[in-house]
Amino acid sequence: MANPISRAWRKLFYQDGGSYFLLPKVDSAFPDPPNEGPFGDAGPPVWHWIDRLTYGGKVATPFFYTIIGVLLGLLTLIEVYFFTIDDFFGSFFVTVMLLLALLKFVIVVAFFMHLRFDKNLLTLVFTSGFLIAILVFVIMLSVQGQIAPAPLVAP
Amino acid sequence: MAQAATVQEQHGHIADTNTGISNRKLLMWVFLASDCLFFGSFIATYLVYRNESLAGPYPNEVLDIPITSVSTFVLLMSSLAMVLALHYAQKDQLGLTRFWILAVAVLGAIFLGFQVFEFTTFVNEGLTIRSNLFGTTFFILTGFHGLHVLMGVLWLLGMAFAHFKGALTSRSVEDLEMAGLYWHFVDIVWIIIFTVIYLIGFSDGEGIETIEHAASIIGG
Amino acid sequence: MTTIAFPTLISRPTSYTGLWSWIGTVDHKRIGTLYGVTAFLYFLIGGIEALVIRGQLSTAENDMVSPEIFNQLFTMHGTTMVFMVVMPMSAAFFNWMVPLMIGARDVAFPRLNAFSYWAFLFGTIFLNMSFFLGGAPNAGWFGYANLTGNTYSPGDGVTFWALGLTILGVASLAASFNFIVTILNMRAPGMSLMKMPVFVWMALVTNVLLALAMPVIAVALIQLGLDRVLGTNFFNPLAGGDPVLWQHLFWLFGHPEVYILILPAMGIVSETLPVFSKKPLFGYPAIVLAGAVIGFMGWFVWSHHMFTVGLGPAANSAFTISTMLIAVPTGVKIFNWMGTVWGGKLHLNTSMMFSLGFIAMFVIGGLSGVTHASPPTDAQQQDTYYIVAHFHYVLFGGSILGLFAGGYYWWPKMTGKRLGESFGKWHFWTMLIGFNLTFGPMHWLGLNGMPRRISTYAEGMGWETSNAIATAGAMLIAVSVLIFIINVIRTISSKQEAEDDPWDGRTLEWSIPSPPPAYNFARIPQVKSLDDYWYTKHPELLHDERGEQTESPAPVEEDSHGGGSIHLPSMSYYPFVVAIGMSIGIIGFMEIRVDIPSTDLQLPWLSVVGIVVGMWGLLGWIFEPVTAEGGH
Repeated sequence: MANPISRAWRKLFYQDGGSYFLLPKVDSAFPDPPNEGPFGDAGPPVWHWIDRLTYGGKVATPFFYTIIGVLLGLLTLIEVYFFTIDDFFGSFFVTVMLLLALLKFVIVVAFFMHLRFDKNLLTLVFTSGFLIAILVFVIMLSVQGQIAPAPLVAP
Repeated sequence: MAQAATVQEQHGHIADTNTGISNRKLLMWVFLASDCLFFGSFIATYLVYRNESLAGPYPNEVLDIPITSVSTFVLLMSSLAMVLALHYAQKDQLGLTRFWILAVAVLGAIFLGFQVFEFTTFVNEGLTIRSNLFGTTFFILTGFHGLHVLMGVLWLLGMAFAHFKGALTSRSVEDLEMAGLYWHFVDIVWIIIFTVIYLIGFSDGEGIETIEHAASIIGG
Repeated sequence: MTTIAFPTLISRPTSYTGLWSWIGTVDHKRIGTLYGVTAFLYFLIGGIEALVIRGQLSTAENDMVSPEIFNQLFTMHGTTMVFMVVMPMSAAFFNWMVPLMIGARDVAFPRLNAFSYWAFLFGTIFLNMSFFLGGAPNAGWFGYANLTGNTYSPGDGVTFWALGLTILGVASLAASFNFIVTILNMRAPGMSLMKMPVFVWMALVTNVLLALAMPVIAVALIQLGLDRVLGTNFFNPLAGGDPVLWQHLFWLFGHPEVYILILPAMGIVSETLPVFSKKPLFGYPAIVLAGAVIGFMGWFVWSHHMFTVGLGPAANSAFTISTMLIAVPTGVKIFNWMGTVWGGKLHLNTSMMFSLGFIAMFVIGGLSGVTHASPPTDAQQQDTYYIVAHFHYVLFGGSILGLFAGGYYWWPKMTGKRLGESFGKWHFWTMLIGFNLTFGPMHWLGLNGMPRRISTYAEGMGWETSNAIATAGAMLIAVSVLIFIINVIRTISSKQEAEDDPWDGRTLEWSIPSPPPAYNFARIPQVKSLDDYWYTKHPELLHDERGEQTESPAPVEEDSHGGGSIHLPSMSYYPFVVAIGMSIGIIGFMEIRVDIPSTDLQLPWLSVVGIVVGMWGLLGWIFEPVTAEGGH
């Protein structure tokens, strides 16, 4: 370890005492701080309400599920209603529809499939698959000119 | 094959997995993540071929939104029945569990009935898998979804008749949870399909001329 | 649990020897051996195909094989080497080593594991049968539409290809789910994710890529198969179908696939280099992070295979950037390996030589890869021998050399005998020299304008010498493989017995006997740190290499299952049955149909047979208890 470059590399990449990679450990005797989540009290109150209500599956009762089911039905009705009124949203029609579909998707995944009440790893597993699918196919569709219409050829 | 138990489950002493999630449940979620890409590919294919059909019938001529809205609603309600079935299974209420499982299977079968009706109507109107791009992509996408629904219905019926013959055990509750996850996934795929193909894609019509199509690919 | 009487027609296998014990096996080590042997046989078949190709190209205007046969040969060579050699050989190492390295007694789903192997085997047999049933696929290993349509590929070859690869896809998917769950859920107590060996990490990333990429190619193959069998319009330009869609779907799978092929080899050398350098792996977190980043970024580079399609300047620029970016984590790994070797006490045995050869050859292949990240350059190189040279440096110089390194490294653990060193050195040097002779000149050939996939070329193009050298190099590779086979035969027939830990290894698989007993670990190990076994053997190094004496290795705890016997999952025939049923179900779409009355559809009755067999097997599988009553 005489070589200064070796020493520098060691500091950078080795897992030994002087390494920059070695993170200090928290004393296990230190009490757990009260965990308010990364956003604390920021954000709209309705979010807190949902957050508190659904944490740990305390609300998972048949009544709650029925409410969710009714909500899903209502959202479908709203979708169909938006579909029937011509041109209300103009060019935002597709966006609004996709957002509504995403909302229904998230509600089913979070409450019916219990992801909200379950271990976070499962959320990570499913979200990674879903997000990669969304990302690659959105890229593919935009490359194929299906998201923005292909530029018109000059007359 | 999700039923395959593991070395661990046979023996209490190492039953705790590293993640605290049972092997089968983790397998199911990995499978669902993978299935996202499967249906994603079919939906992306459909979208790539939007407005590209060169011959009729076109979506706006055959799609029937009111009927499909009803079948969508049926499938959503089957999801609700599924989650109730699981809830009562966890609470050890055997009678209610079996009622709701059968309700799921019946609602799923009704959805399949709607789909068969829809397919026959379309074929009578001249839309087949060979007639144009819309027919090809539509039938194969919704057909694969229908196959998933069919498998779910069979799975649930088998479960209702086999697993619940005897006493409800923690193991059969987990079986039901697997079936439930699968069923809800089939439901969310339909949520996407309903919005993207039926509501957004309803107005899709005739494809542009081949030459312009080629020009758009070249990026002209 | 209430057992439901299910009318089973086949009873459980009971004998632990003989053919039926292999068909019924659920032991991850035996399945790993099956994968390895099968993959090596296909390596020989694919190699023979390559030799014929090289023989045909050795001189100008050669007519050793007809252009039609030549097309079949290069298509099947690519398909074989990718799907039937490198992937299953990696799967062999995953099967053998992942449970041993994480201190588990088997994978999470032993019967699903057996199903994966059998489905893989039937798919490959089906695919290779096409040679005798009217001609092998001949549209290139990435089967671009619409060359694969019925118009331009009238025979059955491409249908064989689409259906066979679909079966392989199902097998890979099942295996990948299994390994993800195994690695996440079945680690020994104390082995957190950042204490896993790098090979296990790379196995995790590879299997995540498989789980997410395989559905995409499955969809593309289903679409192709439906186009050919049912006459749908997915890739039919006459109905407005867009052949570029196939390219997108194929490369959406194809680029993650590239990392599926190379990451296992990267994991292997990350194990061998520290062991044979007597140093800990340099920058473990960096190498793990690089692997994970590759696994993510590998999704967003696929269009660099399509630069010459004409996707437009925006798409080309974006994919250029992402492609050049993905070279960064790969480079991180290279530097980590060099840092591992640097200053170590090198033990230059065959495994180490292959590992070092891997690094050198992979760097060459990686650098030539970066050259075609740039669209203008790529336009010159597209479909020339330069590309052939590039991906052989990555896949042969990378994956195959890495897999051989793993083979020499783990052979004593798998069989209880060490592969001969002198034959090994001969094997290594003939393979390395032969490899460079074969693929080195292809760089020049490609830049000289020789297109790939031509069956012959005119005299006076200036390509004769390089082609002759390449053919001679291919012969040398064949000699080296022959040396390897002789080495294996000599080793198997010798009477030597390897130690449990011949290399002074760092990971848990070396803590158990060679070959491992069926239950792997008599006691499930407790893990305290990365390379736990190494520090158990050398507690004094814990201070030296870690800088601080955190905690002394715990004494092995008393077996937690209270002296009872170890229960293993019992053998089962059902995975085999389900694999047969599934394969027949898919193959049935091939040819034999009966008309369904009053529709214009036909029923593939063979598929129905397959589905019935598969469902029956599945029911048997479900109702069969994992461990037989009073079983082992």
